[in-house]
Amino acid sequence: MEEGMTVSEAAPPARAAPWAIRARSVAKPKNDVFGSEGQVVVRPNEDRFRVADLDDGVVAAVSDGAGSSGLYCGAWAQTLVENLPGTPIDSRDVLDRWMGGFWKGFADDMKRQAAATPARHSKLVREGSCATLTACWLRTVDDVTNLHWIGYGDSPLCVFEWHDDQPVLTACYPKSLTQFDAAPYLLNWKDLPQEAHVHVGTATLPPRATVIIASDGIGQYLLLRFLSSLGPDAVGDGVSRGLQQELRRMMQSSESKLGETARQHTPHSNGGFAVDLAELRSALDSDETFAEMVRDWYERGLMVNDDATVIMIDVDTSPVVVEAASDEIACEAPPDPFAAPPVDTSCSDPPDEISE
Amino acid sequence: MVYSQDISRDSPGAFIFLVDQSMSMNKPFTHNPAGQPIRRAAFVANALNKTLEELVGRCMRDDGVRDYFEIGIIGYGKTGRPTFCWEDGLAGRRMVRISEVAANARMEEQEIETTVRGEVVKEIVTLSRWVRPAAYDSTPMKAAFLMAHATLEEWIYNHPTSFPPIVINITDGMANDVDSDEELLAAARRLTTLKTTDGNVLLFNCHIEGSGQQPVIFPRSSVQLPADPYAKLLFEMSSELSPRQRAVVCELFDRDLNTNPSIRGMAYNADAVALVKLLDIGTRQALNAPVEAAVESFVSEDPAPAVADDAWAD
Repeated sequence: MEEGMTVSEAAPPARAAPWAIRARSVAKPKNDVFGSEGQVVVRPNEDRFRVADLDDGVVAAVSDGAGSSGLYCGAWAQTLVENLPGTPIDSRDVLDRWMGGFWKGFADDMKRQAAATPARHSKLVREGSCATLTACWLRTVDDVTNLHWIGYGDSPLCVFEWHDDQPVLTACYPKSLTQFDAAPYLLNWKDLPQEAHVHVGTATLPPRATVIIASDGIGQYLLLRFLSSLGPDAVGDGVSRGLQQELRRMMQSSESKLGETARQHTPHSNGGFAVDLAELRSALDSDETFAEMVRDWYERGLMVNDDATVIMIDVDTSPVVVEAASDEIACEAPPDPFAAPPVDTSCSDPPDEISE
Repeated sequence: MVYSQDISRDSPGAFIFLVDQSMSMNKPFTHNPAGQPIRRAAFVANALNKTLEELVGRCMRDDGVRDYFEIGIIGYGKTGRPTFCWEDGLAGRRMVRISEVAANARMEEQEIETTVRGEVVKEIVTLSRWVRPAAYDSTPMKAAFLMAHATLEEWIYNHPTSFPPIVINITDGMANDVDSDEELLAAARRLTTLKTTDGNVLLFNCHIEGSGQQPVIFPRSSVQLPADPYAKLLFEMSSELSPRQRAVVCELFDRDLNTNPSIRGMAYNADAVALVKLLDIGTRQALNAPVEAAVESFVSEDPAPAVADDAWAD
């Protein structure tokens, strides 16, 4: 240690990455099974996600294929996440230029695929293929983590900062719960993206934060859990305040499905939303445990019947955590909320590399 | 809460279209862009085909057509009594699952203009067709209501918890199989007395005219109608819209929900646009069909009047 340098300023030991990423996707709990051309067909999950390493960071995205609008929406969602650039999409024009690089190849492939069924081909030509896209780019330089994100549609992104081992919501997209009840705006290869529906943001994360990107059903669930954990009379602050007021109105008067679901939520008797996040973190260990948890939430009326995808990024650049292992005082501190399971980058496929 | 049941394969919805095929349906209704006249029967058949195509489209997924709906089309006026007017592979059928409707369409290729990333491009697509124009004889509307009643009584027995069936009646004139307005009203009310656990059958009535008189669509009160007893009768025969349909009407027509607590599913003196709007709103239920601009796209892309009158063979 250099003379005059305090413990907290000491350079942290080298570590693989300052974040742990867990991600899973599962088809909706009550899924459709139907007959088509003499075969029994199980409706496929139309959510897609991707987590990819960058030279000095990571990019993560969820795209929710909107099966009721257009055709081949799952494939379109896959195309969107597969083509993610290594640098943030930070405006409508950048988004448009980016889509311009691959939409035609996708459209031509799908038209060829649909050609044998004229009505399907007609629907594709008239309606295109639709999906949401929410993506974030994380980079850590000198222990400071910067987040850039883009959202188009209703797949939420939430940033929770950890204070006294409790998560505090500091950024949320979409900003309003009512957007979950409205028809979402979707990226369609047939359309130019609309400026009004492109939402971008940046944030500098504190040493300990959790970033969540999700598809709408499970994202709603997590937001409702968080808001209910604040208690019925909580005023909330910052980002939470508006959402809390909306939730209260919705629970009192709304006949919407979201209002109905919101009324089912009661907070944990102790531990608050940290417990919910810990349970989610644990469930993300495997496809089976994640599917089981989603099914349980649905059966208890806490979550709508929808494909469910979550990317959970626990950021920890705090040198205190590293020092704590050999520090007597730190040993008396509450347990690290990210401590178990161990650091992992588990997604369905291992993270891949994106070159910039 | 009534009219809230989601439509699914386990709990499908039902539509019956009642189509006037009387002689007067031969009268001109509108014009195509080339100025050629389009008869009422031709326009109605085209609008109905587009509606069926739209319903098929809503149920179509990557891997097939899901059976969210069953459909019936009853024509009245071709003969002395109403008949289900499915043709070709569906001839003789009554209520038909939407996957079978899709599988039994006549296909017609057409070049359309569609916008792709801001540029108008031409594409060859196939249009699905089921209904041909017909304009022959009288207007046995009461008998059509009775046939719809018998059909839906059985359908509801098999689907007691489904979203209630929707009946859309398109006519250009007065029933001539009744002795009084009350007799027709009673037949209509008998039909709308049928109900599932989610609410009563919804009856929409669309009176088409095409004479240039001001159409009245989705009135909230009979005082909005012309001083014509037939208009009042149609109003009395027509159902109040479900809350969701009322919200859609208020959004599309820029009306205040609070000052429109009740809206009837009817149009009087409907022109081409009013007919298409009524069909669109009447069939838009529970499948989360987006509200925004649906009517505009229905009317503007490949507009119905583009099909010339003589493109149809009676």
